[in-house]
Amino acid sequence: MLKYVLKRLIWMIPIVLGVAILVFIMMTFCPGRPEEIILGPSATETELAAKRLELGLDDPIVLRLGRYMSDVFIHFDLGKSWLTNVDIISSIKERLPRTLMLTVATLLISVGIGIPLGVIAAIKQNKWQDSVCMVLALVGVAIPNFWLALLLVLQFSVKLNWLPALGIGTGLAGIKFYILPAISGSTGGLASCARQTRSAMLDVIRADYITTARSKGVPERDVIMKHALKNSLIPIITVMGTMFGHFLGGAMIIETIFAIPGMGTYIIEAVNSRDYPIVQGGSIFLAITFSFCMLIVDLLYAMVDPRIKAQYASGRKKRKVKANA
Amino acid sequence: MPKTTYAKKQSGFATVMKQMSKNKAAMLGLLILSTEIILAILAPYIIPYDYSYMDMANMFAKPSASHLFGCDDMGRDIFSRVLYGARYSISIGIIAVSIGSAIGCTIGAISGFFGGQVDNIIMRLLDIIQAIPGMLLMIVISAVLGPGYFNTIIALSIGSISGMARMLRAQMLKERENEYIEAAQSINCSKFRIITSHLLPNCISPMIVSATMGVAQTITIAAGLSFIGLGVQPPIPEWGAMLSAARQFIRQAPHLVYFPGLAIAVTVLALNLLGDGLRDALDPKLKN
Amino acid sequence: MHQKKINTDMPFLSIKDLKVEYKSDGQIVHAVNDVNLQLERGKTLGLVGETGAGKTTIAKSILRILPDVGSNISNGEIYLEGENLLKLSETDMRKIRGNKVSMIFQDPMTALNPVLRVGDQIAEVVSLHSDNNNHAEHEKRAKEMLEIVGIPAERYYAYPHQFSGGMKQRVVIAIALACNPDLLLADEPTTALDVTIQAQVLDLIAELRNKYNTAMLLITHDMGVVAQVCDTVAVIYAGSIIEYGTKQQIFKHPSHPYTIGLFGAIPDMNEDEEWLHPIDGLPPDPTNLPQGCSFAPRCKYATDECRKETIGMYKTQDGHDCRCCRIEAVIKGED
Repeated sequence: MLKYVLKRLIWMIPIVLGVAILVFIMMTFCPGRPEEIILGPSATETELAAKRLELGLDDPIVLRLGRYMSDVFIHFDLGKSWLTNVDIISSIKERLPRTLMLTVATLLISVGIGIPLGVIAAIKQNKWQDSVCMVLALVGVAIPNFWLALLLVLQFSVKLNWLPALGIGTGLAGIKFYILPAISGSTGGLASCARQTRSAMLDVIRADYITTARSKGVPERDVIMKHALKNSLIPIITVMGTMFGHFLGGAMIIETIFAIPGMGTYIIEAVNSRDYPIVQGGSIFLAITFSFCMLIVDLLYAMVDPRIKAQYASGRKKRKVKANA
Repeated sequence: MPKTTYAKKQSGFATVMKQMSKNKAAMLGLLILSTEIILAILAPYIIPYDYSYMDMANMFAKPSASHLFGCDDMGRDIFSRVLYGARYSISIGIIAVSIGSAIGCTIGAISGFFGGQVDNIIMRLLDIIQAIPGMLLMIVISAVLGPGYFNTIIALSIGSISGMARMLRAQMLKERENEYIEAAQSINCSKFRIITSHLLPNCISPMIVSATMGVAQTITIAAGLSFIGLGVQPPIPEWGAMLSAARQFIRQAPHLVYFPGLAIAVTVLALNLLGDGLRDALDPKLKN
Repeated sequence: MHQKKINTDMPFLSIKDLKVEYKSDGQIVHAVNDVNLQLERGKTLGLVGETGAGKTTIAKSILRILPDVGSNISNGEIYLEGENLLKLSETDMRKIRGNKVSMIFQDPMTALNPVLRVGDQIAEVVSLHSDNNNHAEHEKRAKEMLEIVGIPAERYYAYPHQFSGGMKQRVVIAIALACNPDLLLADEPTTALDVTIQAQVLDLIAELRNKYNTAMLLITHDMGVVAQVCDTVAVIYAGSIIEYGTKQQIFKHPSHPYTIGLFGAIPDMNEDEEWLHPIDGLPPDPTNLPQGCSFAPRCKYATDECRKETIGMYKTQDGHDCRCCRIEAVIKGED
C-alpha cells in the first residue's frame, strides 16, 4: 500500500511539472506588456526598458521557463504580485483556509443531504419518495449556483436580514458568513451525489449478497446501512472527489458573489487586473491541491473495497478497477 | 458490464425516438428545448422591443402587460433580452460542445485504438490538462484570449476536449474486449474498418448522452464566466451577463435577477431530462 | 425467541397451495402455482426442474426473502412445526431466518458481501441469533465453523475475493449452518462449482446434516445429485409439481411424460446410445400459461382433455403422485 502511495506521488511529479509548463506558456500569450502593467500608464520608455531588463523579459522563453520552474520547484517561490509586490505564497497562506472552509462546508452539505436522499430514493424505488428525491436532484443540477446565490441573498440578507450577504467574519461568528455561500455552492454536488447514490444502491440492492444478508435475519436497516451502502460508496466517493476538486475552482464564482477573500477571488481579481504571476502561481497551486485530492480519492477506494486494495498492492492498473466499479 | 450491442444501423434514429416517446420527462425536455431553439431563431422577428432599446421612462419597471418580465436599469425590456439572449447562451453551449466533442473524439479514438506509446503520450497530456480544475482552466483560457462571444466558445471547446477524449477512449477499451471485435479480426477486417464500422457505432450512444449533458454544463459555465466578467460582455444580452448586471440592483429591482436565471435553469433542466431519456433509450441496460 | 407451538400432527415443513406471482411491465408472471409439499425432520426433499420452473421462488417464499418490488405470495400457507410462516410478523420472521431455517445460494461468487471479511459474515449470523453481545464468543464460533467446513480458522480475516469458488461456497455453507438450523434450503449448491469440488461440497453438506439431523430442501436440475442425496423427490414444471414420490419410485418408475423425458435427456452409460433424447419444445411462457396441463404442448400423449381440463394429482403407488390424466397410456408407452 505504501509502495502504491509512493508510486502515485512520483507519478504526480511529471503531471505537476506539466501543469506548470502549460500554465506558464499560456500566460505568455496573455494580452498586455508586463512592464506596462507593473509600472502603470505613466511610466517612461526608459523606465519600461529598465523593468524589462530587470525581469529578463527579453530572454528566450526557454530560459524564462527554466528560471520560473526553478523558482517554483526548487525555492518554492511563486513570485510576487506585479501590482502590490506582495509575496504570492504568503497571500495563498492567508486565503486558502477560507476557500477550504467554504469547500468543506459545501461538501458536507452535499454529502450529508445527497446520500440520504439517494438511499431513500433507492429503497422506495418508483414510489412517491423516489419521485420527490429525483425531482429535487434534477432541480439541483439545473439551478446555476450563482443564480441561487443571488436568490438566497435576496431572501435571507436583503428581505429577512438574517445572514450577511458579503465578506467574512472572525471566530465563531464568522461561520454565519459561510452559510449562504456553502448552500448555494452545494446544490449541484448534492444532486449528483443523490443520483449516484440512488443508482449505485439500486444496483447493489439486487445483488445476491443482499439476499444472503436478508436470509441470515439481518434487520432491514442494517441490510441497507451495513451491507448495501458500503458497497455503493465507490461511485459516491468518485463524485465527492471530483466535486471537491471542481469546487476548489468553482468556488471562484461563489467567492466573488459573497466577496470572500479566498483563492477564487484572488485569481479572478488577478485576471481582471492582469496580475499574471498570481494567475500563474494560483493555478499551479490549485492544480497540485487537486492532484492530491484525486490521490486521496483513490486511497479511499482502497479503504472501502478490499478488492481495490489488493489490486493496488499487486500493482495492477487501477483503470480496470474503476471500470468494474 | 457487457453491453447489448444491437446493430445500431438498422435501429437508428427512429427506434431511439420511439423509445424516447414513451418517456414523458424526456419528451417534456425535448419540447422545452425545441421551443426555446425556435424562439431563439425567430427572436429578431418576434420580440416586442429591440433588445437594446432604452426607455428611461420605464427604468426598473415591474413586470406588466406591456413588459412581461419588466425593464432593467436602462429601461430595456427584459422579456426581449431574455429571448434574444437564448441565441447566445444556447448557441455557445451547442457550438462549444460540438467542437470539443469532434476534437476530443478524434483524440480519444486514436488513443483508444492504437494503444501503446501513442495512447500513453496522449493520456499523460490529458492528465496534465485534467489536473487543472475545470472552472480554473476556463478562467485561465479566458484570461489569455480575452472576453467575448467567440473567445468564450473557444475557451469552452478547449475545456471539453479532454473529458470527451477520455470518455471515448474508455468506451473503446471496454468495447474492444467484446468478442465481436475478435470475430471481426478473425475475418480479416482492416483496422480502420474495425474502428469506423464496429467500434465507433457501439461507442457513440454514451457519447451522445454525455454531449447532451455537456451542453447543459457548458451553458452554465458560460453564464458563470460572463457573470464574473470573463465571458460575453454587456450589452449583449447573454443570460450570465444579464445576471451580472442585475446583481448591483438586487435591492431596488429583484425581478432583474429572476428571469435570466430562470431561463438558464429551465434550459439546463430540459437538457438534463433529454439526456436522461436518451441514455435510457440508447442503452436500456443502464436504466434502473 | 418466538413462542413454539409444536404441533405433532403436522409434518415438520408443510407447504399448502402456494401461489407466487411476479409483476413485470404490467404482465403477471405465474412463477409458482398451487404447490403442496411436505418434509419430515432430518429428511431431504429434492426439488427438480428446469431453470425458471419456480424452484428458487419456493425456497425464497419459505424464508420470505422474495424481492420487495413486484413479487407477491398471492395464496397458500407455509407451516413450519405447525406455525404458519406467512402469518408471522417481520420481527418474528427475522428470528427464524438464518437460525431455524437457512439457505445456501446458487452462486457462491456473488453470495458473499465483497467488502466484509468472511469471518465477520459468519459471526454476523451467529450474533444476530445469540442472546448475548459477546463478540469474542461469536468470533470463536465463526472460526469453529470455518474449521468445520474445512477452512483454516486464520482465514477469518480474509475477504471473499481471496477465496476460490469452492471455498466461497464452503463459507456460504458455514453461514447457513452456523446456528444449527432445523431446515436447510440448498438452492443448486453445486451448480457453479467444478465437478471435483461438487462432490466435496455435497459430502460436506451430507455429513453436517447427519450430525445435526437437519432437514433439507435441495433444489437442483441434476438428477445425479438427486440420486446421491435425496429421500423424496418433487419434479416441478412451469411452477407446478407434476410428480412426487420417493427417490426409488421416481427413478424406477417415472410416470409423468416430463419426468420420463428428463431421464431420457441423461446419457445412459450402460447402453450404447449415440444420441440423447431431449424433450422437444420449450417450457411455456409463465406470463401466459396454457389452459389445462402446462406440459401438454410438448407431450406426445396429450389429448384434447389435457389441453382443456385442469389436471389433478393421480396416485400411482402409495406416496407416489403424478399430475397426468393419461397416466395409464404413458406407463404402457402408447401414443
